[in-house]
Amino acid sequence: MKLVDTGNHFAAWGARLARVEVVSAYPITPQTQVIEEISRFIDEGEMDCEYIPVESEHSAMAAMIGSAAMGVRSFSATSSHGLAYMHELLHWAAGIRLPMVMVNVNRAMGPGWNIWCDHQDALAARDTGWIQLYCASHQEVLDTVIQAYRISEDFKVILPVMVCYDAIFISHSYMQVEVPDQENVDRFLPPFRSLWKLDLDYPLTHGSVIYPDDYEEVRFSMFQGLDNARGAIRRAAEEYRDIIGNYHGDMVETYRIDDADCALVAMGSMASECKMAVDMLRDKGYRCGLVRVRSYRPFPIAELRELLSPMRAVMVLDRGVSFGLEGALFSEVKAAIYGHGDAIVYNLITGLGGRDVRYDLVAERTEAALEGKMAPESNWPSLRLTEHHRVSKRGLEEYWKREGVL
Amino acid sequence: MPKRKKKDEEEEIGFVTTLSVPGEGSVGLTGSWRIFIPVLDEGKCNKCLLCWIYCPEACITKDIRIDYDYCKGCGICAEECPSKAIVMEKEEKKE
Amino acid sequence: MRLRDFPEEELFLQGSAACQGCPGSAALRVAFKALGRETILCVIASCTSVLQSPFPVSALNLPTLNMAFATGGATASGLTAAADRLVARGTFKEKPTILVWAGDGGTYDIGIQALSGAAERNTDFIYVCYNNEAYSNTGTQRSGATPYAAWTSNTTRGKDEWRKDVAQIMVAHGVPYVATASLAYPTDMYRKFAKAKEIKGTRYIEIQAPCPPGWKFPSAHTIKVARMAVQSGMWMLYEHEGGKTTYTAGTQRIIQGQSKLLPVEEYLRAQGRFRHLFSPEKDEERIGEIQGRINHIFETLQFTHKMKEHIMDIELAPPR
Ligand SMILES: Cc1ncc(C[n+]2csc(CCOP(=O)(O)OP(=O)(O)O)c2C)c(N)n1
Ligand code: SF4
Ligand code: SF4
Ligand SMILES: [Mg+2]
Repeated sequence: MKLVDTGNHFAAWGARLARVEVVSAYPITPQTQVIEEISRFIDEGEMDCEYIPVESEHSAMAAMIGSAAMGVRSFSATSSHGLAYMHELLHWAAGIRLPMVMVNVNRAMGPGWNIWCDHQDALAARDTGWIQLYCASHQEVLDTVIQAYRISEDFKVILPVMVCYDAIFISHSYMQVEVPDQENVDRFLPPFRSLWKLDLDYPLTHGSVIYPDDYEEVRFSMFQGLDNARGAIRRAAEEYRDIIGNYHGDMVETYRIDDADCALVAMGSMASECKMAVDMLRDKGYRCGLVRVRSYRPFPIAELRELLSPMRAVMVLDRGVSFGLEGALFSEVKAAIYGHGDAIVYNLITGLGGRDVRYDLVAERTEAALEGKMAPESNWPSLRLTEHHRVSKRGLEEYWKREGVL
Repeated sequence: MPKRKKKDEEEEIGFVTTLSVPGEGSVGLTGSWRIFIPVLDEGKCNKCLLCWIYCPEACITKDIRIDYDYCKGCGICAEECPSKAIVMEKEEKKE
Repeated sequence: MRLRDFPEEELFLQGSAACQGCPGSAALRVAFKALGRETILCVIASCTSVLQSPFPVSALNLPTLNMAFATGGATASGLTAAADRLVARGTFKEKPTILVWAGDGGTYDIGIQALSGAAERNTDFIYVCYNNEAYSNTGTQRSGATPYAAWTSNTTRGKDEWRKDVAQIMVAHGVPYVATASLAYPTDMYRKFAKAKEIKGTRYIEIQAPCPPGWKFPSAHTIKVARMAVQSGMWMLYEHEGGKTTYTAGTQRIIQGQSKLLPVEEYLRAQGRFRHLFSPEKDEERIGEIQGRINHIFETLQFTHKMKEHIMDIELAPPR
């Protein structure tokens, strides 16, 4: 069935087709439509599911942990401040080894209420033990939510999965998507499975005090679970292609990379912009290609090594920043390919708070890098001081004068 | 020199998480915490069951037998016994 | 229910990490006896996280999920929603009891939002606050439940404020069942748990839990101090359902005139956390304030009781 709808509504379709049985979520722009659509599905009898209208995101994740621990497939959706608010429980959900899927609509962090896209929210949740998958299209959102349950419930993984997609660009825009048949989704995704649950016939206690002598192995086991997720992500992508037909790459997706000596690396919808930049650079005679990181955690170390070692230059685009260092993806790409090949790695930090990432700007900067006119450190190519900044600054300067600050 | 075990011969860590199994003596024989020991005079006991229900450690059976393996010697049973059938005595610890 | 009719089976297993004379384990024992094996337990960060013993053996013989500090009500919402699904699917013949066990810090302070949300949604579960009137686990800091004038490690001259009353806040939520309980009155406590088990919706039970190291009294006195709290009117036993409050056990006897209020001074003297009210000098003012509040509450309740007996059936909320 073909449908034209928003990215948010297609995320809801993913949960519906995955036969999710408990949803607990709290509204936040730009995620709200996900849960509105799910409650509509439930009200209209199209989805057989308990919906818990919790009073905060912290509680949304607590309820998810409760329902998944009972052995029931669970789903949530959030964004930016909501994700930050539930941070403590992101650690808990992964640490206690529960399979579940949550959508995060990537949105900028306040202050300055900004409901537009960047990746800062999910980057700050990077080290919680969650698998993080980034989508670049509406179709990929729907397909990835379903795939995420396969990955999460894989016995070698048993960890929660966060499906990330960009605010507004994907969440609120309308696109046509092929909605797969329930029958095929059922063939792809067996009923919920996990490695433990709260069982009346076999009482176990989960998550009590644990001493230094025992703790490290628990964390290593999580580390291995994420490691094993690499295989699970590949298998899910391939089997999904075989059964349902769509394919968006596995750990990464590539574009015109085969004969390239220069690669762009990006995540999310920005990668589509990068495809145009690649075409433009190719037209100018540069042999450019694109690697879109689809799985940010686990990080595609082997793929990047293989793909990037022949390059002479790599341009990493970050839609977020690790303050006091550089773009986080930039650091990680450098670390992954260290000692493999001799590409010089460049960094653009751009598109924060929903600012447009223009393909011509990306192309121009990449060209500058290739021509040796740019330093391989963090560049903020879209910065400019506008009249708005000036009005604000003048007001503040008046205040400083009055207070004798300057 | 003994040969070091090769990495891949070691037991695989696999799925290890913070799951605990239920069991008595979860921190060992807590009787060793005791300084004073409750001693029951069966002749005085009227089987009111108050010590049974008040013992925080479930160390007194319903037929009023004290489990000295786990009794922590808190003294609640002696304090609450209405017939003064339990008294706390300084415990002589064997090495 | 007489003591001899209480089930023999222990779901709290001996040899735990609880302190000598711990009120938490004592309360767990009675609650587990009343609720039985068909119970899913969620333990909120507190002394109970510790006293169940560390990995890999647990004193809790029920399926147990330990959870973060602020999550009691919300976790229950997830547990109970999943249990409903499992009943609908036929995996469970009957729905198990969902039991959340939290301290006063996890209830009065950091967890009140999640609890309030769950109560407003009438989440089907029993919430227990075992109230040892401080953050015992982190070394006895004040909580919203710490009484006026009590020493804690961050109110070293005695707390300046009066405690709040979450049981009454739960009454104001209109949940189907609210009860308070005392360790010294196990049959009353057992009856309240057994009753709560049969009710659907949010049920709140708060147990006063005198903590020997935190309150600074000998471990043998846990039950004695709990009893004095009721006898002095510092802790009141009641249950609230269908819009009506019924006082029970020791509190009922005082209201009905069968026993007299114990001077609160005796209760305070039994605990080191009030020592500064007696030495170096007796603090008549603060002791008087505490006694004054209790007198006011009980005079009103006794008056209402007499009115009910002699004139008409009216219901007054207890003054605070
Ligand atoms: C978010 C968070 N903040 C602080 C803590 C530290 N902490 C653990 S238990 C506790 C106090 C618990 O007090 P209470 O709920 O009264 O239980 P008790 O220890 O008295 O049994 C605190 C502050 C925590 N675990 N989580
Ligand atoms: S001394 Fe305490 S632990 Fe020992 S039997 Fe008596 S009440 Fe139980
Ligand atoms: S500090 Fe108090 S409540 Fe905590 S385990 Fe010890 S006696 Fe029990
Ligand atoms: Mg406490």
